[in-house]
Amino acid sequence: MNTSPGARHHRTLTVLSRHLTAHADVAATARFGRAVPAQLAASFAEAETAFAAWCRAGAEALRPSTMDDAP
Amino acid sequence: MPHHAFAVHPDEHLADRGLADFAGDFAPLTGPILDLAGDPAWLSACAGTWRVMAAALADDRGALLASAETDLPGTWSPEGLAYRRRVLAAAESVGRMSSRALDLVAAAEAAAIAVERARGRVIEEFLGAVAALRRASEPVTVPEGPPQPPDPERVAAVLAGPIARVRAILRALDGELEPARTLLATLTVGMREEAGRLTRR
Repeated sequence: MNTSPGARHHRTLTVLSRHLTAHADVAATARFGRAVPAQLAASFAEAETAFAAWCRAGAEALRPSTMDDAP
Repeated sequence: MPHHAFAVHPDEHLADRGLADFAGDFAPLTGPILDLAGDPAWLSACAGTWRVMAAALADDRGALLASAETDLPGTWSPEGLAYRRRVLAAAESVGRMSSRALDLVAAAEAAAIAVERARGRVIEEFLGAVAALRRASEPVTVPEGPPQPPDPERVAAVLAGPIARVRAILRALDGELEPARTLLATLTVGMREEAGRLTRR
């Protein structure tokens, strides 16, 4: 079945946006900081949080509606 | 009756007990000390998860690049070109974050090695302390008299050295982990900038 380019990009972006949301959830669960001394735990926590924040920002940026509304 | 290193009952001949029994008695104390050093098994498990995530991001980057080539809603239209530009920028960002996820794994794996080594040294100290404690708990023989119970202060004193050494091991571990902290700080800044770029588009 042929899919229009518009439908394909919509589907691709939707899937990837969901992927990034899932990655953010994984990053919030698989936390290295739980298993290292306190000082390093704080450093890991910051990195993990920054990673999750990027994932969520990416998920929002890739949502088809956001992409289509972009200038 | 439970034994305690600092309250040796005169009727109990602790010296008759095996080292393994002794070590078993103190196991509840060693767990928290080892936890201070860290848990390499958890680090390895997390590293596996982050590796999978990095690979998934690399796949996502590929999907975005393909999308930029094939999913244009009108290849040369202004909308199509704008879509291509946005998708390619997102693909670059996803690719960089895949690399950073692997950098995070590398930091965790370096930490796991240092933590594992420190735990081994803590366990050695613990076993040495148990052996010394056992020796110090032996009844004191005196000429022409029955053996006397050990001096509780002497028993307690044998722990001072191992406790100081365990503290030194944990301090040294903090020093060994400094490069990982530096790497993580750099990664954090990079990832925050990456998120900023995505939201500014």
